[in-house]
Amino acid sequence: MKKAGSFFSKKTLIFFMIAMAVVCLPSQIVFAQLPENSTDVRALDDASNFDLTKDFRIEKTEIKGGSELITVFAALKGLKKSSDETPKDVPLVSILRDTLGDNKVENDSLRYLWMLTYTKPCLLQRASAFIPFLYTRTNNKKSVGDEPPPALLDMRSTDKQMWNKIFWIVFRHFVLNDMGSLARTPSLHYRENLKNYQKTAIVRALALISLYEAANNTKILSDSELREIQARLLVSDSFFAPLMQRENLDRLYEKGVTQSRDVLAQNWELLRQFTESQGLIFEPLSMPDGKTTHAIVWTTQEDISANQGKDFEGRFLNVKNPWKDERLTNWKGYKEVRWYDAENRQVEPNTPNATSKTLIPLGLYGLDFPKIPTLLVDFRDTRNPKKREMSKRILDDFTRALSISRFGNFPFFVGKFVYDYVTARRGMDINQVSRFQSYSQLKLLLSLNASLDSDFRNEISQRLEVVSLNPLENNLDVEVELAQKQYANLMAYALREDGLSAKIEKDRREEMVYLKHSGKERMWFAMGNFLSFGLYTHREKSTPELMAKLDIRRQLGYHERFLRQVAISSAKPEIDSNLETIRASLQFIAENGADAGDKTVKAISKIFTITAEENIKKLCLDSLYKINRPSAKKELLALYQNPQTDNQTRSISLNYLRQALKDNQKISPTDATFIAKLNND
Amino acid sequence: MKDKKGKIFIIFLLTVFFIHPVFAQNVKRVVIIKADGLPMYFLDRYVKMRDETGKSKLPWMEEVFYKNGTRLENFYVRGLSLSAPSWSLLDTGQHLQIKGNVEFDRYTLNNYYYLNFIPFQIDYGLKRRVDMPGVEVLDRLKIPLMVDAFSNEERIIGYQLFQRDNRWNTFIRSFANAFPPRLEDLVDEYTMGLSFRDAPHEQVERDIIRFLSERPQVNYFDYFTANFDHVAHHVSDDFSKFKELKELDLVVGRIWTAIQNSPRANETALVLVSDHGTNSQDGLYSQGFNLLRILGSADGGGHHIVTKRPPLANYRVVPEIPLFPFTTTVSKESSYLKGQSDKYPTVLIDFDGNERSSIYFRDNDLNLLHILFQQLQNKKLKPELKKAVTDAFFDVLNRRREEWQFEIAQFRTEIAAIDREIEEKQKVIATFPKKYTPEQVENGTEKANIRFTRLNSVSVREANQHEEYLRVLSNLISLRPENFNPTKLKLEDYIPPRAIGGRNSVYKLQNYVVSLSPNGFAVNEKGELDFEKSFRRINYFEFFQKQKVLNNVQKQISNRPIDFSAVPIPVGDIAPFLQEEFPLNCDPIWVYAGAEKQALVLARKDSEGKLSLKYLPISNLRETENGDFEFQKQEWSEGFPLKIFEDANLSISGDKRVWLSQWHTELEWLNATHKTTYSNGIISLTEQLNEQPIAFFEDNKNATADEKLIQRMKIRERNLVRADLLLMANDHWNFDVVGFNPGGNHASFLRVSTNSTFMLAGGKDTKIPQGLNITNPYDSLSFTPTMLALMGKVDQNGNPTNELYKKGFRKFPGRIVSELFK
Repeated sequence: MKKAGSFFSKKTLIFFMIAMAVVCLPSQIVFAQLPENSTDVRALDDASNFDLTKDFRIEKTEIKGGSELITVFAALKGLKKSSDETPKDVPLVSILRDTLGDNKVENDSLRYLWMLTYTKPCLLQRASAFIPFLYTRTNNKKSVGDEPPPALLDMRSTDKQMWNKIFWIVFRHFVLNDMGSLARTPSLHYRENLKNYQKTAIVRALALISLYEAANNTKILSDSELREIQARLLVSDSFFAPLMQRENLDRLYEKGVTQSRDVLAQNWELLRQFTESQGLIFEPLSMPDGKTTHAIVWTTQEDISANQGKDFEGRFLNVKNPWKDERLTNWKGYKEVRWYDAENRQVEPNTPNATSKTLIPLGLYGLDFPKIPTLLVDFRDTRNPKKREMSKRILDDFTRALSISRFGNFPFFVGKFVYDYVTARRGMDINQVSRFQSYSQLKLLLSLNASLDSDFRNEISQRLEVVSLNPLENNLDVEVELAQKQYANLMAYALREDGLSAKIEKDRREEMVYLKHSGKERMWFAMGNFLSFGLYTHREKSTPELMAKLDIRRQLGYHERFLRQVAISSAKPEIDSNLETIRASLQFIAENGADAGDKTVKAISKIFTITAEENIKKLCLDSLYKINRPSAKKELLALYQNPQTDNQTRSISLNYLRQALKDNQKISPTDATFIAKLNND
Repeated sequence: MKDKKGKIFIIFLLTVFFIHPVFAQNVKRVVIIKADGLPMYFLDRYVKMRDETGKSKLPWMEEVFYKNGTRLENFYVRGLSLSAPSWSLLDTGQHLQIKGNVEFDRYTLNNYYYLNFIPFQIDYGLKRRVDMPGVEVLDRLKIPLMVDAFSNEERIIGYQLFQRDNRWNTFIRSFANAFPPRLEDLVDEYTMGLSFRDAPHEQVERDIIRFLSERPQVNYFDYFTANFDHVAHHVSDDFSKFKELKELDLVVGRIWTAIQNSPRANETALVLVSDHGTNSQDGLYSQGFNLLRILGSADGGGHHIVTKRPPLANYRVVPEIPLFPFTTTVSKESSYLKGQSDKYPTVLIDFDGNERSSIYFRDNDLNLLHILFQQLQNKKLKPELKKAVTDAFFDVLNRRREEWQFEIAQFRTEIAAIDREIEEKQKVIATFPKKYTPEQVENGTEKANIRFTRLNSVSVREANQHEEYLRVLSNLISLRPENFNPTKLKLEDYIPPRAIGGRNSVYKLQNYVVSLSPNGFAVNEKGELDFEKSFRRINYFEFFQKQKVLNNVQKQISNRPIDFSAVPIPVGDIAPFLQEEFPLNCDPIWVYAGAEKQALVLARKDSEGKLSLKYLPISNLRETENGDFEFQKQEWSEGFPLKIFEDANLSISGDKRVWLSQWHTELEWLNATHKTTYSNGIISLTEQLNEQPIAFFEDNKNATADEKLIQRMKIRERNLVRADLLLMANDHWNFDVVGFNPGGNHASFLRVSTNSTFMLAGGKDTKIPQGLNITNPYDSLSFTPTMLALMGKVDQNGNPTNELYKKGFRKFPGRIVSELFK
């Protein structure tokens, strides 16, 4: 504690003061840039200005060696400078699908996802990201050179990432902590910034894929692939995410979609009610798929005059009382004139019997945030959302810098618990999780949504950049340029001999490790990878036999997943499932399924029980014979022993059991003894 | 002799057969899947959708109920489309006694929160009760549930609103089974977020599937799920709602398959039933309107308001503890009750379902007396004003004195009778064993004894609480001007605290006193208090109707949150003004949608209890202080409440105006209106707002004097939980204040919310028609008698068999679904 105390007095305070000074700086700049006295007359926005099928398109590029690069392009209507201008068609997300060079979907594997606005930070950005308590952007990345962009997500189910996380935790506790605050604090700060930058990109990728899903008319990416991508993005932050079984991804996706829509709906309604109760105007902002992710709260010049001095309940709105704000009576910022009919519905300007109101924006809120709408832009106080965003980071960074552990310091533990509890329960917009998700989505919305006036959009963009705490971020216009350049680099990389095709080849060789080594051996390989900072990665030598095995293994995985899903979601396949695909999957396992897992054995047994289709039953028995696992033979034996089993099934089961014994298949000793006895009988 | 006996027996059988033909169906065993809030139209849409292989998107619904069974396309809830009332109708087949998810006793503020299972589970653990609160209320009214037709050994019951008994073994096993046994599955579940909400219901399903084969003696199974309703409240998108439907489809598939594999498959029926629909539309958010805010404001009366749960419950620092009976929202703008919110709330609201609110106002005369009493305690009151105020106080009191005296006398006689019953029951309770043998536990003796003890203790508690109210009311009417010195009296000894008194008349609701006038008391030339000028009054019908919002951001939703308000008017009070409609023997319902757009829904019953209704369009109804009614009859046109006239789906032949201006039976109304926007609203308003007969009490002709008094008391207690005013939200508006329900809501009379599900299928002996779609409309009163008729326990006239009669079942008023028996 003494050490921590001394650090606080000398270093942290200085850092903190510098950081606060830097934080305050950009808002001054932004204020200086704001347009003055601009009042636009606003016509009605037509939601139909979105046409998903036209606004989104997809391009597929074949890669040598048997893979495909699929890129989603979006028309960034929001970035148009004038209404006549053709919107920029910008590549935003690329996905690599390894097809093994054939047309079989069963052995396809989604590998990498690039969010093309996501890039490696430049030197200055990296240096800034190391500075503790520096919660602001310092620079944009100017050039990306010819390097291919960094992949945002590796979609393989691999335990390597999990082991990396474990080793990082170990490293942090046993190495970094002993190096003192001067080394630890910047390192952790940098890692936090890096993690948040990655999360920001993931959120945007998720939103884009979701938008593309709504417009998916080409089916270049199948529905199940789109779901898989979104599910992987949803849990990418979770510790066990890399271990997630693919058969559960669909469920995860469905749960994620419902949860996200629930949050949006709750916040939409909360903000509408509280806006209404204070006599303010609520304007939802929608993504091209109609999903409302943000909202603007306005007041009117007329109300400002009428309500002078009135009380204001700012809970959840988190802006200052507009009725006691002198600046609003003589507002110099952005204004808009809108027309409303007798039912308070917005109508076209100069509609008969309609009245006009001059609207002044107060705040812009993100709705995709846990429990409360989160303030992203305060049009009267740019620092307001930033301070709220910083509140949790500062506390966390301080405790890290001072090495205060909640478990080692009881008063701190109690204080933090109470503070966390109260702010979380009340839904106070301080000490909350980061708003980078809403922030990131808003940037996307601004680029896609052409309904906002361009001056107003620019003002929002400028103010929004101030909210970002992360020096690794780039601003919206720069990101568009980055995306275009990075896409060009990625395409060049894809076509290079030593480029993407070589990477895929390496990945396949890495995948082959699973065909040759046990889990324990793979753990050692992962540790080697971590300790060598990624320099060493164990890979098998690619041979035609291993390639063939890989093909079979992938197909087997596909069929196993399918049968497990059937076993869970079917009460009787004849009624509720596709019998042809079940037959095909069972046929594959009966022919190639020696390595299928125990869960597949269970699934096949269940399918055998619930179906009355003779040929499917027979294929189940064939598969159980083929699967070289004790559990498969146990199931066959159980069928043979079950008095309710018909004679034909018993006979087939017995033959298979005898044959399995003869083939030296894996059988538990007890079962083997029993089968041998049957043989003798 | 033997021949003679045989002939007599045959004649007897024939007589019984012709008088009460028992149906030839042969359902011996039934599995009922109860799906809360599932609308038939939504389910039907997905059954008819095909996937890429050509199969239905809900393959089991199609296989079981569309191909192998019967479905009722037009099945409706009767009354509010709200869970507790709706399930009470479905589970009993008797008229509505429970009228909300929450009800408050006006004299004690004791609440009946029918959805709150937490106190029930705790009490069950402490062996203090065995049934959910709704079941206890029905037990006290001698209204059996369908499940009571089966003995303890014959039934397996799921977790539900009207839950008879409890099964902790299932509960405990459900949590054990909620964790997947394999590590990788557990890790995946953890990553996705472990959820235990469905665990008990999933365990019930597993039990049903197992017991279908293992327990041949069980004849009744039920399974309850509220997942669809829950999701539809939260999100409006079809993707999420369909996901829940798919889950339900699979439940149907698994149970149906288990039935087919069970030894009694041929005589088993599978039934899917829901209590209401939901007004949840993809792409729209349901908007909340905060009644607490407007009624707590000075404009709305500055009321302290009691609700079942606190507003914004999830945003309070102190988490909600569901053991407290109610919560009070304190008005910052209260005038005469500042700082007295705990003793004197003046409004109680049940907003559940959220498309409607039942609003209880304190008896307006208690408000007047309260204000006057308070002022008289002010020693600075000028002597001449003091006299005027004292006179006014006794004017008000004298107006009510006789009525209150009569009520106190009657109520106390009833309490005396129940005290005698309690005493007798205590003697029985004293004989109950302290410990029960495993056999007694198994055969239900222990639970029966706990139930008996519990109901007795409820009687004791309620009698004591009501006696306390009567004591204070007695004090009030004992006051006389000659010895009245309010400065020496304690107000709460005379104005009942934590009580709101009796229901208000239309006059009182149109002239509701909320405070002293801003200018204080006014005295006329005679030195008397000018009641008109001395008090601030609100006409609550106008007040609610004029509400509108500033933000009108969804095209399909109006900026006016209130659709209409409705109150019953005592038939005796209004009958003199409706002589051309004689005979009238039910309370007419006044429906207010604005000064010019009002209606009186008139009702009468014939000698057999059959209901006829007439809709009278009117305007400008008002009740005068002396009880006279004034209103103007109007020609039929658009815009009247329930919007029947303009509805393209109104199904009548001939001149619409003529038909609508006549009396019709409820069946005629149902046939004509069920496909309109407000479906069976006209019938449901009557069911909801009128006092409904209790079959057992009506049938109990040989009751002793004490029994009659106790029955009267129980009817009185039901009347004490009736609200003053039913407020209906406009389409896609809701009144939820506990949280937000943007996905959708129900409780209205809108067809989207009233259209429910009733489908059934069975083995070959059950003779349930296959592939039949019944298009004739039915309502929830039909469910229980139809099910019991299928099992041969009820005849075609709705009369229970002797066996059921002995168990307390009485004639069912609902129509049996006759198409099932053809």
